[in-house]
Amino acid sequence: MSVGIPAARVAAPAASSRPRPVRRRGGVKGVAPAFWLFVGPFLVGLVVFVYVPIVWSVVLSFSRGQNTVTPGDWVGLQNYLDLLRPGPFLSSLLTFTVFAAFIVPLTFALSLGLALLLNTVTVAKTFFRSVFFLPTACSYVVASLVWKLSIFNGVRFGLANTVLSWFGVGNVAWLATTDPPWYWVVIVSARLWLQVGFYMILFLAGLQRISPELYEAAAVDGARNSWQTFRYITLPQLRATSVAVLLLLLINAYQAFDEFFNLLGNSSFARPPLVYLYYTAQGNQDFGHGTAGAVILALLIMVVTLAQGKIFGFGKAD
Amino acid sequence: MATTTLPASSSTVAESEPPARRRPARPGSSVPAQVARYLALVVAAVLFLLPFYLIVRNALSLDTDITAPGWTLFPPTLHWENISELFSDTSVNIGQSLVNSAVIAVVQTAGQLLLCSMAGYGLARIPYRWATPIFYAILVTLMIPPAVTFIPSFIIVSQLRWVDTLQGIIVPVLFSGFTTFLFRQYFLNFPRSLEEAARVDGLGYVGAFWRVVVPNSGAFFAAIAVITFRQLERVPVAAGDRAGLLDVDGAGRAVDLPDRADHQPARAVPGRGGLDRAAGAGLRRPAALSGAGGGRDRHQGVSRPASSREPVRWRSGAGGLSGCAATGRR
Repeated sequence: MSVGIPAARVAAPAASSRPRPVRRRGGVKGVAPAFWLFVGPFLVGLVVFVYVPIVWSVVLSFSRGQNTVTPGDWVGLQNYLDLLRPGPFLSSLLTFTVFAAFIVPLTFALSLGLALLLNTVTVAKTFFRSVFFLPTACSYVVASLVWKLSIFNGVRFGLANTVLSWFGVGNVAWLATTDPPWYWVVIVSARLWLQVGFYMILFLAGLQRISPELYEAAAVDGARNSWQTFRYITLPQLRATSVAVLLLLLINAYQAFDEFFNLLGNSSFARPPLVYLYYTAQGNQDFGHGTAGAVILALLIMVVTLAQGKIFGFGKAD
Repeated sequence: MATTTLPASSSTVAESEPPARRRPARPGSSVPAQVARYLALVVAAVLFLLPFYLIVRNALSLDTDITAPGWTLFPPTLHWENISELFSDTSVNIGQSLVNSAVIAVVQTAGQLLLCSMAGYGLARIPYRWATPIFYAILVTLMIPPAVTFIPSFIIVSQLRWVDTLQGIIVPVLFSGFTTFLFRQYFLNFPRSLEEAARVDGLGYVGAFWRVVVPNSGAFFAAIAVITFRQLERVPVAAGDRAGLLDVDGAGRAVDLPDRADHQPARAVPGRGGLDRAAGAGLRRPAALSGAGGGRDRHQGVSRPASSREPVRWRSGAGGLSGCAATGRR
């Protein structure tokens, strides 16, 4: 595999730089060769396995694409126009919006809260950190199944209903009812459990980079309570981390698939865009509409990301 | 929540200069506050561990234990044989599946670390004029949902004649824009002075990277390895299904992953039977959980495509749960 080549080439300059009378640059001379040595292998793979498929998809989205993935039978913008009429695709975008409105602030608040909490304790800190990070190692499908079959299965022996029955609350059909839409509890809690630990780690890293002198200065300047230090020191210092976390949360919410797919299937009431497109492309073999929808989705994500980048910056070289 | 918290550094400040402080006890450092904090942590920890407990409990239960009216912490008798039966089940070669998974995950993680750390370093540190445009081109791929590239990348894999091979699953996901992005952001903050020292000692970019930057970035590499390892757990299934996507003649698969065990009926295994059936029985029929349903109804609720195509990324309780419970698969 070509992957091995850079590593092999690296060993040589390290060894050959031993005499080093004039050679200041190890093996590679000049900026451009060095850059391509580092970035080239990755870039080649990216083009072959990511960019070519993207272009293929875009081209395919302009053709009819029923039962075929070979572009041809051009229909212009018809696939896009079909999707942008009021219908399942637009309602799936609404589903996403509701989902993001729940999951983004909740994950942000919970992971930041846990990070702050962990940052103040000393005893058993590693233990708690590991416990909160553990679900990150679990797959979405496993979590969905535990949620669906053991916790929120809607029958008497389910964990949620067992706990509710201790308080005299009757059975709730968590996933099988749309009024009230209890399925949001199931979906949001599953994803919270899975992802809070990861963002907590990001926040912890950010918290540890805050210089203690800032808190000293705040105390000298008369910061009255922990809320004030949080509001005027911690939060502003976490700005870069917060921006990254929000961006990742939003993109991940856009791409929600596994838990909806496993918990709700092809339900008409809560079907995020990817699940809808999946059923369009794989279920109906309608690859034209499927790819058109995927392109719309990608454009939406790009607009949001670039807008966020314009406002907050991507962390350019300093 | 924020009112109960105080950054650790400020409490150390309080300790380092106790007499000078005009406020004897900051609200965060009193004993009750400390107790409240640990209480909150313990409650949160219990909630986070609960699903893992359920996996273990159900894995050691019979159907009748799971569906019993009263909640029991653990079934009266622990059915360890569920696990040995899983491994001796001839219809699901779970042992081989786990080996496949391990190979794929290890190779992919190592490959991604190598490729993406080098790319990230080049983007962060080598002042090439195309570095920023290339970085944006990589950033764009972060925003592309997998659905966009799903089918065409299968075609590319098939053009390379990699369908049903390990490299067909491993190679396409090596080039992770996300991992490169993380590495670039990290290398941007790497102390320049260390690299300058390497430069003075006569090392070029390559030497500085391998002999100074990488050895001093162990923790970050480890963190990325964990993240990558865990993300890949989702990807190969997509790729494996991708391999099966257009495989209309139903040629045998060389690669079987634990998560893909769903195409095999696992009803013979007690204890998991209820889960399996329920897994496929669809959310609208919770009655199937009573265990009364026949073994074969597990797929009905999932509305599979009518053809031989496997629904992409659907993985059943059989592989997933037992994979996680029995082996601690990441």
